[in-house]
Amino acid sequence: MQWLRANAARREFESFVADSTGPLLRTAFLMARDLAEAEDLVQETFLRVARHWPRVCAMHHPAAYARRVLVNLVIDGAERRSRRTGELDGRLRGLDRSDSRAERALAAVDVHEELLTALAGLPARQRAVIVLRYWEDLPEAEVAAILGCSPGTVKSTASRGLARLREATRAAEIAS
Amino acid sequence: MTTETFEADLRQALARGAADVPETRVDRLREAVLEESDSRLAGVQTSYGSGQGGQPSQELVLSSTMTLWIP
Repeated sequence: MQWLRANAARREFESFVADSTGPLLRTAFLMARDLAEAEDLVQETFLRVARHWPRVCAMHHPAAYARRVLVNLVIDGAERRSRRTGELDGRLRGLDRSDSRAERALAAVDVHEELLTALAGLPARQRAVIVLRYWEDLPEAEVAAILGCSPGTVKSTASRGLARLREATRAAEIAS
Repeated sequence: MTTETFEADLRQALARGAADVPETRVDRLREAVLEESDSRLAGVQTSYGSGQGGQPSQELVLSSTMTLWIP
């Protein structure tokens, strides 16, 4: 921990936290769809970054390393989150679409909200790919580096994710 | 709906979702991370006897739910 006692390293770490908290929290929230959980994920990310700060700081893009840590934390914790999402899906499936009140409620949900809900129901890796490609605007090669797979896998994963999202929005349009 | 239109909708949805994170929560988390690291790193607690084989260990508490043991 000597490095953290060094003022220069300390200031660099503080500056990194100041700049990175917002982007990391928003990305975490889009992947987890739970703000408290997103905050925990980001805090854990900073802990892991801090433990390797001399090496991370020397990197060309420390933020990219932090993003990689965060995404892997999200995917590692996916099982717990998918259980919760499954419960939500079950509640949505439980709505009787022949019930006029349910139809009106579903119709009131706009396409953006429907997309975010559908996103939350995707498998963790598909969700990560969609957020990294369409929110972070990262190229396939960079997403592949984060996830430890090939750009081709990123492309096919994104394609499957987009297809499921389109399907979900079409279902919402029919319901409305 | 074309692919381009759908992707544009998706980008807008993600931007909207990201905007649901209040700036106050970002500020609070940023402060919490910095405060925790300040306070804990300034005064790392040292305890004896609870580490492996009775060796000294240091407990670095980073949040109410997060504790890092340093052998």
